[in-house]
Amino acid sequence: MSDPVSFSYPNTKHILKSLSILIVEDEELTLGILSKIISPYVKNVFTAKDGREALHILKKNDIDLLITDYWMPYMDGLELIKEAKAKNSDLPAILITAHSDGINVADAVNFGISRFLTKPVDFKKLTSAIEHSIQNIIIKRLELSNKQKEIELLKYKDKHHQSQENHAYAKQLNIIKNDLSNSSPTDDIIKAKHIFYFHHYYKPFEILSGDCYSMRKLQDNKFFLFILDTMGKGLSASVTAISSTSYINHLINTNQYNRSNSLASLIDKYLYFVKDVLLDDEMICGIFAVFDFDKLIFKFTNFSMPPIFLKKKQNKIIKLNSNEIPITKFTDKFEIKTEELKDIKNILLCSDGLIEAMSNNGDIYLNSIEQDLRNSNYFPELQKHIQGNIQEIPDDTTIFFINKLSIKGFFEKNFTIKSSNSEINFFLTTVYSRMENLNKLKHLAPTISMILNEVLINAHEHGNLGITPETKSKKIFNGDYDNFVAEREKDIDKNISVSFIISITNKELYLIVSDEGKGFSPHIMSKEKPNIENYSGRGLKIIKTLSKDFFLNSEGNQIAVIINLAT
Amino acid sequence: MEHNIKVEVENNNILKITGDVKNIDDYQLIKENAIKLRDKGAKSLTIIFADSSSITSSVIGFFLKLVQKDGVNLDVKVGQDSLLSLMKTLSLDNIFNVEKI
Repeated sequence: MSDPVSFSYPNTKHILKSLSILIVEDEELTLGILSKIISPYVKNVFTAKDGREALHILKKNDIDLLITDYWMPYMDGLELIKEAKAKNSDLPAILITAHSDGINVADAVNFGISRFLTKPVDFKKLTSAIEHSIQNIIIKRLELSNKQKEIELLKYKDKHHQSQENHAYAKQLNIIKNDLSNSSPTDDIIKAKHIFYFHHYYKPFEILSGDCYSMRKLQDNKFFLFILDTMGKGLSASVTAISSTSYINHLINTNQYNRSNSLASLIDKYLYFVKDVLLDDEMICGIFAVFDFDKLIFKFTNFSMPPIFLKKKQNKIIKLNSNEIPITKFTDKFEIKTEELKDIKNILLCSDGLIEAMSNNGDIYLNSIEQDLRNSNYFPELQKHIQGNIQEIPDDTTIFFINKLSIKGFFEKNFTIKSSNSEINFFLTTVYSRMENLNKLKHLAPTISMILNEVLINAHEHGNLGITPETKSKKIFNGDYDNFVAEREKDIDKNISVSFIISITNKELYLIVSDEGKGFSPHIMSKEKPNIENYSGRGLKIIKTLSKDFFLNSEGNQIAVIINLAT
Repeated sequence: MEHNIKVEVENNNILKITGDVKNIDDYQLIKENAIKLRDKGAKSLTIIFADSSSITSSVIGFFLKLVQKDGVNLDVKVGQDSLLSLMKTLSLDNIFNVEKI
């Protein structure tokens, strides 16, 4: 049997298979024939004997094409199309008429009728009318399919770029060297008279940012810090920042500073390198500083970066302004300045992202920073002040904060406990009950006890037992961490030292805990970002939340926590 | 073992903890009770910290494992603002459905 319905375009059949068609005809025989012929080629055929029934079907179903007779009870085909179009103006409609119906063609076109067919219906004309009527649907489907392909392509590109960015950011963090953050160069915090320790904050605006930094340990109790802010266009500036940071760190790694013992020589070598990298219209702002904690001086050169802020005794703020113009391809000389560290309480170095941020008072933050520094003894306090002033520390910001601390007080008590969970528990319980009996410490007993718990657990598990955060997380996930710790405990014979020093003047408790392990690397600590997938790593965050500040010694196996006794 | 806390079990799906959670023994006690309820088939646990101002990192690690590996839904109710604030600081308020009592 030959196919009575044929179409001009092969796609039509395919599209029709997804469409629902409504046929409206009051003559049952014609309705049956039309329905029987069209049914095999479409998804659904709905039939109605008059306009009212048709409107009901249109309301309840998604109809893609309406084929209607003109002359019917209740309402004619034109009225039906008019009402159907009022609800869905895109609905294509075919009107079947008898020659005697006397339709006004102009009215019919205005109603948006796609095609007319005359009775008796010629099937070739019917297929042609259907094909013509669904052209818009075919075009829309094609557009949608192309859009979908474009979206898929964009998603692929986005995924590809994201992966590139993640790798680039990991590379950037690898190039940046941080030997010092959250730590002090001091070996033994208790024995040291004065302790300098470092904090940093780094938030690049984009992957491969123009802001870069490093914090390096030199020989003889000297420390080198630099912040670079490369000015120029996008990636080009980033390449300058990254290559500069790599080169300067290479100089440090290969002992170039220690050999010459000269900041000037180090900067000279860097300038020689970077002048070859820079384009004619590019420039670099930067601070280079070497701190000598034995001689209590620091040397620096500031190429158009924000001032270095020094807080001295009586909270006096000194601003050391930039002493050089930015580095360009043509820079050939610069001056090294020297400042004393004797009466220093805090030192703040930052990139322009911070000082140029808008404060809540509508002024740039440069005009509020001195007051905030005056009111902050510790970096977390300064961060809170900054956040209070500018809502959020802006992107492309690098901050170094150096704190000088004297850990001394009228009360000092030292303990040594065996590194085991049972000893730690016994010690915690004893300390807690003693604090509960001291009126002045009673209200702080829970806080101090919780900090002490986290510090002791870190010293025991990560320090003395040498359990890495990754192993801990994996073992907790498997549910066998407690047994793992218990087994490890059997193989070690190490101690934990705990010192409590109370300063009445500062209303502070200094809690210093040492273990006999290999110690944490500040570089690892500065990268540490516990997330929901990690089952460990929250101890330091708890300590940070409950204390004023904390830092490690040079080896990373001693921690000092500063606890507020004023509340 | 010396505990600073008291753990009460209600309706096979509620742990009510009174006292400050401070050390490993406290963590062990909470863990033991929660595991008992999990093993009895509890798919959802309500943990009430009636008056603790903080919890230890060991407890947090254990709770994360309960939710993510064991598939137990946790609703943590806290009495103290300081504990609520700590949970928010550690971004744990959503995963543990933390609410103030």
